[in-house]
Amino acid sequence: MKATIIKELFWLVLSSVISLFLAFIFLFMLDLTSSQGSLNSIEKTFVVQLYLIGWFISLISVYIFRIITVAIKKYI
Amino acid sequence: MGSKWENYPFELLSTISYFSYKVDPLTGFYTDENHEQIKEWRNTAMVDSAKAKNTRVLLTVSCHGHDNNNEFLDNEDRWDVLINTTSDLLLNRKDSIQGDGIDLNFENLPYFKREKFNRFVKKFKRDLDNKFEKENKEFFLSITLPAFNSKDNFDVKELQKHADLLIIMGYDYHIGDEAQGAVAPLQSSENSSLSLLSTIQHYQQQGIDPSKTILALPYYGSLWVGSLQQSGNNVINTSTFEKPLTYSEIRKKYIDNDQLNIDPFRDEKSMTNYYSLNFEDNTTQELWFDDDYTLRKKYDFALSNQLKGVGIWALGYDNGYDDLWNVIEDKFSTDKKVIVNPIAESEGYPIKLSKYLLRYKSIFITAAVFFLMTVILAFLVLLFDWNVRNSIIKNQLYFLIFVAIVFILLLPITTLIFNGLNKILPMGNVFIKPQWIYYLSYFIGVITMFFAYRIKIKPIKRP
Repeated sequence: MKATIIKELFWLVLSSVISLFLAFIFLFMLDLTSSQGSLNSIEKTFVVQLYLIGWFISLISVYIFRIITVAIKKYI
Repeated sequence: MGSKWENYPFELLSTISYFSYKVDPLTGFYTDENHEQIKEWRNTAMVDSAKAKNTRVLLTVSCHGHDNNNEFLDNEDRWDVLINTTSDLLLNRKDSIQGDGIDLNFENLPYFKREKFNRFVKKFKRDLDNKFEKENKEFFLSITLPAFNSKDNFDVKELQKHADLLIIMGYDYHIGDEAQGAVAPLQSSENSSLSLLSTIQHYQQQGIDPSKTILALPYYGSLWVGSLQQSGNNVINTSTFEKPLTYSEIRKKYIDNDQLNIDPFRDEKSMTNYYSLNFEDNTTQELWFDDDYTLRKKYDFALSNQLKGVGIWALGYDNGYDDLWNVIEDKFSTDKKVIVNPIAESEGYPIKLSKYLLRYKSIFITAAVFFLMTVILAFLVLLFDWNVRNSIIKNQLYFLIFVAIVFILLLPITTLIFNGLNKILPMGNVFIKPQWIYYLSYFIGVITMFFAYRIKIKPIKRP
């Protein structure tokens, strides 16, 4: 039980760190453009919010990845 | 009125009111300028045509203006003159076809004449009831109520004791000196608190009887004209109210005008259409109007508030077009229609959720693509495991599932690849048309299935 908790905690930390990078891919895919040459303050705040959304989606994605691989390996 | 009435589909109208007997506040008789209209009322074949279709015919008695109402209501002798004149006009028409009643249209009633107006209506109803009784007829009285201006000055609880019908004039919200906006906004905008909703809520709070009340809606729009002027770095549009336009005029000059060739916007909040036009000479036009769609929603609003029905201001404004009549036929010729309150509909969860999804659709689509890529990646990574590969090859069911998954994932994969190529390649979107992706994905899928069944792979031995 203790080992499982430690393992899951490790996965949570690792997933969070991976998600920090994957969130940039999420932002890239959104293809955000500014009406001016550089982002204004509202747009900057908006991008930070989107980055956090991207981080959360990435975290879910990592767990989806884990569930699929573990489930198929176990079933097969 | 002329001969426009000949086109009215009376079978769709329960009541029609001839406009109007203009009260001379100093006598109670009609005004001098009103002679021609009264003459027309005495002779018009409209009354006969309407009654042939069981449409009730009223004569509107109008007295507009603060001072005029003050003057008229202060002198009860003038009430008698009005009562005698109108009863004569109803019961002694030239063709001996009698009118059914009166619509009292007193606008800008002073607050301090509230009680006198109550007494006047009571006496008016009682006296005309008596006169009609002598003819073995029933007298019908309707009273128009303002949408916003001086609406507190009408004591609806008292008035509805004597009136057979109360007509809320649900128009003229933004016209004349008012700011640009809808003639009959369903809900109020940021610039104004006035709307059909606030009007109905006000009268409901006053205790109006909805089964005696109808909501009159406009068959006209309002036009503002202005010009664009440079002020420093900004361009300012200074516009003023030009005139009301009837629905027929709007159809001819704007909607059906091939030279204009612009579709109007629809403001969902006010449930009203509008044009905002800028011309080459820096002049501007802004037009707000209702059409069959917006009026349908407003009829739904009236009916969902348990009102008796709707009214039209004014008949003939849509001359030459049937679309508005079609809505009335659709809504009111049967009681089996399901009525949905358009405000509740727009604020209900299905619409709210749809709006939310549409607003953030790029985020949701990107998230969905992200999850899909995760699934694809998970399958790809699994294929590196010899045990998984072996199971797929050995087991016919797993093999079929694997091929089916590949087949399903082909369309998004192909779309992603070609979208990426479209961005990268200099030829841009010429490279492949979007619909080709579907055909291509299907083709690749069929080829994959074909070869997947043909290729025989020896089972992998456990290392």
